[in-house]
Amino acid sequence: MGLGPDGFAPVGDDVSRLQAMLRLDTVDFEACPGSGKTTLLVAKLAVLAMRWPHRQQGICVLSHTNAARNEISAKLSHSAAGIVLTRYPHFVGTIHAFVNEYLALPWLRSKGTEVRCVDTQIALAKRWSLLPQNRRWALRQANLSETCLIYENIDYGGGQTGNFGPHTPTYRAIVEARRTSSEQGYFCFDEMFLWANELLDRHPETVSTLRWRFPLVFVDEAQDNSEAQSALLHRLFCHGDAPSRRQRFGDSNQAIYGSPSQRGATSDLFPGAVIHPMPRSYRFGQDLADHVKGLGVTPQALLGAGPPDLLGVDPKAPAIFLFDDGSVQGVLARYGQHLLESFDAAALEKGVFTAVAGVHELGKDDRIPRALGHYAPSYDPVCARRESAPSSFVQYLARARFETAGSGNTDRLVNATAAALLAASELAGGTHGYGSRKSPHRRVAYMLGDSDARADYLALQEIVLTHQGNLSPVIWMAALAHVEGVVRHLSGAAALGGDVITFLAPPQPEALAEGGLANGARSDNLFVYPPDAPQLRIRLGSIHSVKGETHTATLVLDSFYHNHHLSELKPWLLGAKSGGFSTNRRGRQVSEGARMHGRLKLHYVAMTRPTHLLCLAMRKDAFVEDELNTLTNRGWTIIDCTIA
Amino acid sequence: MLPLSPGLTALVGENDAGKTAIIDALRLVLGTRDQDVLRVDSVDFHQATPGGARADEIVIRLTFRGLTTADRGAFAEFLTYETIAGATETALTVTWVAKRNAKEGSSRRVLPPEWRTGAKGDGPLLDPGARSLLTATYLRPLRDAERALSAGRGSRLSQILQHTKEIRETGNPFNKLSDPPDDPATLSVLGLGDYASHLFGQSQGIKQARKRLNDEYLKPLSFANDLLHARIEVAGAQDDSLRLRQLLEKLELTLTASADAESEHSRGLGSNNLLFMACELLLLATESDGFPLLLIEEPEAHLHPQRQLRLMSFLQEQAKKQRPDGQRIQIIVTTHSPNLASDLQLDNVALIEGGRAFPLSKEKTKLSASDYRFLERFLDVTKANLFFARAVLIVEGDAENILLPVIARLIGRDFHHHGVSVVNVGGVGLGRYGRIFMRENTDQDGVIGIPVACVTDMDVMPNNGPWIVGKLKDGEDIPALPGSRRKWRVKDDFPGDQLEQRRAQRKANASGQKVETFVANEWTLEFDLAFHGLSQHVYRAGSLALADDRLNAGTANQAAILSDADAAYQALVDAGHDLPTLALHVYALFEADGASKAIGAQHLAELLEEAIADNSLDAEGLRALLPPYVVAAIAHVTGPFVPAPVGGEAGEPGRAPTAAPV
Repeated sequence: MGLGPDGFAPVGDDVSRLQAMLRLDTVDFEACPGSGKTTLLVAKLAVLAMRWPHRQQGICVLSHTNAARNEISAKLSHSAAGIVLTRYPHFVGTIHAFVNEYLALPWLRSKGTEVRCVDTQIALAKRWSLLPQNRRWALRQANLSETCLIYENIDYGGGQTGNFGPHTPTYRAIVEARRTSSEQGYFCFDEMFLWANELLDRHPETVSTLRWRFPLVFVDEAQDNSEAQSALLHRLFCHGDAPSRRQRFGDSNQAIYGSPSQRGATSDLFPGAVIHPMPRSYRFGQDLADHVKGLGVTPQALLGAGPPDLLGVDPKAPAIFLFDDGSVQGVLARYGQHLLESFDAAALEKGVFTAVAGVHELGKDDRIPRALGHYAPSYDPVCARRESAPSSFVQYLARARFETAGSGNTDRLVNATAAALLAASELAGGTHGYGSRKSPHRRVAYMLGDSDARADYLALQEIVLTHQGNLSPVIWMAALAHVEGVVRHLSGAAALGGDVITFLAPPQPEALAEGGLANGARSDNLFVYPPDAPQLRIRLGSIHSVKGETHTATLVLDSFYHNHHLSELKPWLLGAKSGGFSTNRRGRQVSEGARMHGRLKLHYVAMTRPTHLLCLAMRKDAFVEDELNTLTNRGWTIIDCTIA
Repeated sequence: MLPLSPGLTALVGENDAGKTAIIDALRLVLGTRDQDVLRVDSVDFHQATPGGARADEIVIRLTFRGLTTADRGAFAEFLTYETIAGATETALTVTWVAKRNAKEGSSRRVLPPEWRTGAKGDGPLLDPGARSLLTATYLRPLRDAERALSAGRGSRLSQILQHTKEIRETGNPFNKLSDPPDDPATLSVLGLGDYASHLFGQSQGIKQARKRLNDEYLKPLSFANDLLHARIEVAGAQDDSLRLRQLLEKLELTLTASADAESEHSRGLGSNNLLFMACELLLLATESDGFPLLLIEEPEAHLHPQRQLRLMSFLQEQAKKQRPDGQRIQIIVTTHSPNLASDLQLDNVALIEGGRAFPLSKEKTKLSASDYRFLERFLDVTKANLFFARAVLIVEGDAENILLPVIARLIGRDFHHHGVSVVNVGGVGLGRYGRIFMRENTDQDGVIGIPVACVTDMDVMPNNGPWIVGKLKDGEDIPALPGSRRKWRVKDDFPGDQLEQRRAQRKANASGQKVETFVANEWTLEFDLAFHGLSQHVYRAGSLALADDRLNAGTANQAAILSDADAAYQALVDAGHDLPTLALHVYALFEADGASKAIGAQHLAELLEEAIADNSLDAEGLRALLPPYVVAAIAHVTGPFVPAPVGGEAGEPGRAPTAAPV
């Protein structure tokens, strides 16, 4: 499990890790970055699985993201007992998946709705196309996007409809589109919570049923729960008599959300009343711990017990890269250079190197640096976004390549191809049942049966695998006939319409990609350095995308949302401020405000990733000379990119 | 769709009706605990016509209702929430689909089946772990109980015992590091096995053998610095449950007559069968999870009737008991035994006919609540035949019971050949038995394809009857109705169309679908036989019945009695009575003189057989002499007479018959 033989031995007089392992009551683990909470959770699960006597009752492990679910599953699969947990009667998956599988889908099926697809993007596209032309125009005029078609009540009402009140024809058209698409089986992710709650209203015994099934519930990344999730889980497992035992793992200092409009839970807050603190980080040393702990909204007394001695190198002093408008695109190269200077070849080979930014999609405003794209123009945000479906066949493959990351396993590519085919078929008007546990590949193979399209499918997979998912425009044109053959068979559509053709657009021609290549970044968001004879790969992504990860070195790039993030956090970097609350002259506690708290949390996550080296990249003009001296005194290395 | 009630359900029906198909369907979907796997073959796919194309898929859908909290929890992700008439219920529907492999030349003729859930099969696939919770216990027909209960690798007995709480939880384990236990009786089964293995290792004989092996053979073969050493010990697996299984596989279950364990007397097949079933029930009843379904094909196998009845009541008792997890065992049996069927409540019976299942539970049949109570009391072994017939003739008396099969045979409609069961209900509840075969909702259920004929009397005598058959003395008047307690009726009691109304009422008692009531054209069977053309035969039979005791005792001789009878009959004919009056006089032998109808029927049967044998009567001729309702009833259960009998004069009432020379 990576804990070593003495992973749970007391450190000094600190037995908190062993206790954390042993206790089975309802408790919240407030776990600092690198405290090994996922490892602890997995170890705990493995031990429980070994002794689990029930055939009908299981352990429920809820994560927030698919990435976290995959991580837990992957770790569980290292032991025979662990593998059992990923199967019936246990559940390991996201909260959304749980709510769908156990509540919303059975309920909707029972109501006679054949659920075809739960995906906000697809459902909203369907709904938008259901709106009459004049209503679409009215909505556009009122600056409303497709998201106004998400409903918040089971009568299809509510939602962000702007100035269109219930009496207006536009509102009625919106409700009609919501209703029709829902009856056709297309739903947005969050709407499933509404249906789940309806089931609980109509069949209150479902609560005791699920508590019986899952007497023990673990919630990972509990700090990220939205109010809808938090309230539903509380209703399901905690409220009233005979609650299930619930253990939540999380770090309130790392509560960050996918988009600024998302809000955290307002009820059943994490951490709750019973807290088990886990302040010992096995990721980084005390030095780094001291640099970052002030950025916690509620600073924890971080104990740096790392880094693990895997690379055979000592932690490095943190560095700040300073740049201006002209040198912003040179930051990544300077970072690469700094890494080459800091680590030996073995460490470069084994280590994980990243560069992340709080904002990764470029907007209209050009206040450099707004987002990752300013540092690496070829950066493709869609490829890194894990929660939404890719919008083209090529993106499906790119994401699979990104996730496979050179492991040589084929399953992601095969399934990405199949999933892309299913998505294309959906666009062409095909309908495919949802909720089967089969992999996309097996679903496609099953649906194709013995038809001629099966040969197309196999040929397509052959092409994808031969080129490891990296199809050139020429190869793509060769594969397209196979793709269309399969999609036509799956959807039953004779001709493929505009949506499908857009979805099946060829990859970017080489000429365009070359500009990106010069910079070392490719469509799979890897920056290689040096470009001519690569010695290291730097993975680019948003801070959200690296949540929970451990890196050897992390470069946190400044980005812009209402203001430049890191510049706003300067007082914390300089040591002038600590935490999200301060005490004013009259001795009263003052909050920094919600936006500042968001910034703190986001960058606390980013800055607590590395084991060995933390780097920041900020505008040179954000600092005055004195401040740079302070930073140097606090142990930072200053690297000025404006000087070639 | 076959709704099953909780507890015991018996599938009854003739051979090839489809009883085993239902059991097999359950086995396919649920799987069974023995290690035999039932596989689908390409010939299992439906073929509408011989030589026609086979269906592409087989779909079996099971719905489970009345789920406990534990069930709902275990299957939470697969459930269907139903709202029926405002009440909410939760159900689990499992749809099993097997597809035929249409590809030519493929060695796999059937694609692997799928277990889908959801009301329309639109839910997630049923997980293997969840599926294993549904596994049924299956006892095959003509099972070899002795083999199942004997020792051996993978024996069923070891499987059963291994899951028994007492075996697992009684006693202490053996610890070879501590001192040997003072009292081996305190050890658990596994502990005893381990202790024995330990003692083997300590045995002097084994030690000496080992020493000899080491000293005399291995030592000379070894190098000085690398001695080979042999050890002899009981082979033992590390895993507790594996060791326990190996131990239990040595056990054998036999029945003894007494509690004396040394008795070597072994019991027969039937008793072993009981024992086997007892074991399986023990296992089912002690389990604390899963769906406790027991499928038994022909539980009556090798059992004599009394044992069958005891078994049935035992199974019914077991099905009522509640397990610790709140479940009750559900038992489904197929049977050909009227004994078993007669001991069941109708509610628990499903009649299988023509590949379709017709549960006989309340609301499903035309039977009323009082009918169910009545039938529970009176549906005995002889009547339970009706569950196993291709056609059923329900009669009210011994005479019909004796005569109708013979008559049918003589006119070329052998009941045995046509699979017709004759059920004698003895005067009461005729219609109730008939209504067993009538469905309340034919739109939903269809019609049971078994033709059922109820044969009943009209019970109205000619107006001059009362004086001839001895109901009234000469000069007495027919007592007025109302005001009298007379049970008998004459035609004058029914003025206008009331007589036909009475007939229609009797007919309506049980008619419809494939059930039809045939009412005597005139009065009773004997009267009608006499009236329609067999008056002399009936007269002779009545005379023989009156002399039956003397004939049996040898004090009278049949030829003499018959010749007397013929003389007496000729006198009646000569008296010039009209046809009804002649028939009345013939019938008076039974009604007034007290001849037994059953014995008379027996004699009439013999007389008719003789007449056919000596060619004085042929089948066509006899049919023409029979009352139309009898012919119609026989036609109903054996098929119409083709070509339809031309209205031969012989059958026409209204012409005075002449005495036939016999």
